[in-house]
Amino acid sequence: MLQPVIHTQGVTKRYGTQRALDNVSVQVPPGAIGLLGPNGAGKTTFIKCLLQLQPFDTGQATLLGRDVAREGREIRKRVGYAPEQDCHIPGMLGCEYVTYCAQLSGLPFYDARQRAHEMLDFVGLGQERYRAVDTYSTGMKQRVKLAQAIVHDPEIVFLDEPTNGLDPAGREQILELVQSLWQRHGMTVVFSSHLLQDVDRICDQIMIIARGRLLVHDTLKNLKSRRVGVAEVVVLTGQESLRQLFAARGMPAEVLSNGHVRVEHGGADLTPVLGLLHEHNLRALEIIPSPNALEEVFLKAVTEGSAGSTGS
Amino acid sequence: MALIEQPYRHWKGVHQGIWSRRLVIAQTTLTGWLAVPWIKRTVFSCWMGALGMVVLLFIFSQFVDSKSALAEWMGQENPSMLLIIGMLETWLKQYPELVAGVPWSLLFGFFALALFWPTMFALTMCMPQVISRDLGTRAIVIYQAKAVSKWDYLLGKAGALVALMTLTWLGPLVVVWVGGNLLAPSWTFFWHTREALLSTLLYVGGSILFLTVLSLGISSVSIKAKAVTATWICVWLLGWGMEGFGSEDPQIPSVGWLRHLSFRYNLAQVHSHAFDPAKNLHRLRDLKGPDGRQPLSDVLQFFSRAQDEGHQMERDVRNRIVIPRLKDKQHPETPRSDPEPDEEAASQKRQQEEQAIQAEVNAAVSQMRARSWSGARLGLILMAGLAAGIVHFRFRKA
Repeated sequence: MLQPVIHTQGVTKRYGTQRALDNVSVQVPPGAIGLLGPNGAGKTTFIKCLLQLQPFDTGQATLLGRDVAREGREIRKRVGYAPEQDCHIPGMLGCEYVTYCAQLSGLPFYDARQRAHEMLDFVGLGQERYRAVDTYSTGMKQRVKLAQAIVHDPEIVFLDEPTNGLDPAGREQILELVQSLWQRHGMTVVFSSHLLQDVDRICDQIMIIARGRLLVHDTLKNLKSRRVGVAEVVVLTGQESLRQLFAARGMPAEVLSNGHVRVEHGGADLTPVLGLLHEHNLRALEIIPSPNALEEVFLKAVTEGSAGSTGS
Repeated sequence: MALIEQPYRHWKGVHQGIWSRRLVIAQTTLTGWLAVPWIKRTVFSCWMGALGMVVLLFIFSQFVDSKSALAEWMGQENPSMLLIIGMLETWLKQYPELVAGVPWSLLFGFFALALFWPTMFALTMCMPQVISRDLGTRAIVIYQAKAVSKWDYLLGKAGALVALMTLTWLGPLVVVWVGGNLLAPSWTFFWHTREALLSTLLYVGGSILFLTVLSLGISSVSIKAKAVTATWICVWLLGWGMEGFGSEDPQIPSVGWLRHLSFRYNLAQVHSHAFDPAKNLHRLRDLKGPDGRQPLSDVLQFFSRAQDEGHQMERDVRNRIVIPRLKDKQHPETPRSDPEPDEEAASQKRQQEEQAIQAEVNAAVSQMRARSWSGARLGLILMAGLAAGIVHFRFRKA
């Protein structure tokens, strides 16, 4: 197994009587890590505790192999963070702001300026970089936040809800950029979101946090394999007859509002579905294995977590 | 459409040290302040004032050199001026510390006080932008997420404040000292006027350090700019109001300690302690011409009185001591038994009485000054401690 980039042991953070993080223990290898949880679950607190923006009360944590409590400044040289909320410096131009952030991370001025322009190109900010950051649209602000987070070439970057407030095209672009960070450039990405489809698309590991507790940490592949036996079949016509065929074979099915036929085949792979289609000489436009698997895993984990905490 | 036109490149450089990151914070903050037109104008006016001070010192230098252009011109216009200039030149050779050092100390004490006000104005303008704005816009999160700690951040901001006050206060004074000496008739002026420079460094340097801590504290009070400016002005006005309370005189029961709630009053005490203009003026009075006139102290007494609160203190004490005695003389409780034998003895007695009064006044004033100086130090330390406490509280929560 790869050396974990994040390692926590019994990390607990309280705000008064409320536990924002409750005994979180996890070892996370490098990759694209999706941090999922409902609003107020403790995702942002977890990130802030790892970056020492907020000290945790008990437990131990290491980031990139260094003790978070003692080596915060050294760690942050190698870590990037794009917070959820706007946090720019009023009056600064986009390029000045990113250059300044690079200098704060220890880059010499000329390197910082060059990197700032490269990263602004990378995130797709053109001539807008010469405008004051406070005049940016939401999409531009998300881009400049991403640029400042990666300008010093960190080994790991924490992105807190980076697609919030973006239109579909902007969201698509940001997701593609974030995906490329791990897949093409080897930068570990911790992607915090409550949008499951975003996480499903770009992450290969999932952490689910609810009520301050870590409920699930596994690879997306493993999580999806837990929910095998469901598929959606897309056909042009004859959805109802297909449903009846599946039902007759003992596979409960239903026609969804989008016209897809959802079938619970119960197998480890799609062989039962493909066999039935072949037998009746039916042609499917598409077969989606384990659709919404992440959503189901998420809901199940959160429900079980809530029940557990209520019971305890 | 190609989404990512710029390929990502890894950076393979060497990180800068922590002091350069602190310097970046200070530099960027200062640059932001200097972009504000009123701060820019204030800095400009301070340097214009410095130019005026250099001119004043140049004129003084011309007056103590009979071969100077100004002396020659004045000699043609009014030959009696040549006598005064010649006398000053002779004194300069005999008592260089008195003729060069003391006037410079008096002038620099005045300059240092004069530049206090534009510095305060510049501080008022930038006060909300020191820390408050970063808290309000959550820019503080960005600082905390980078490779700087909260102490590095505060050091950077403190550096920006020190740099701003150096631009409006200490910098012009040091340049005036160097410029004035370069234009002086002799290189030895650099040595003889060292006390003026040291006093300036002591007073202005100490004040800058205190005001830096105070500004950090006040700017941390709120995340709202208006609240910060209002707090700053309140601290200032409240202190000003307190300055009118009582006296340092231990003989008079009062609430004199309230004066030390004013940081301006406390800094004025530091100024008096550093420059001691009253003492310097007394030293100049020893230089008398053949006609009994005291040209240097006559010319410079304006600069002395404009900067020394001790004059008022001395006047109050003298009145307290002298007035009851005058009343005693007018209504003696016991009639005089032996009339004065002659006029000379009477004059001698009056002189002795005057000396006794002066000694009593000096003792009382020196006691009051000591109390005032202790109070000022305590006041400044307490205020700085309070400001540091506010910063600590704010950043503990941040």
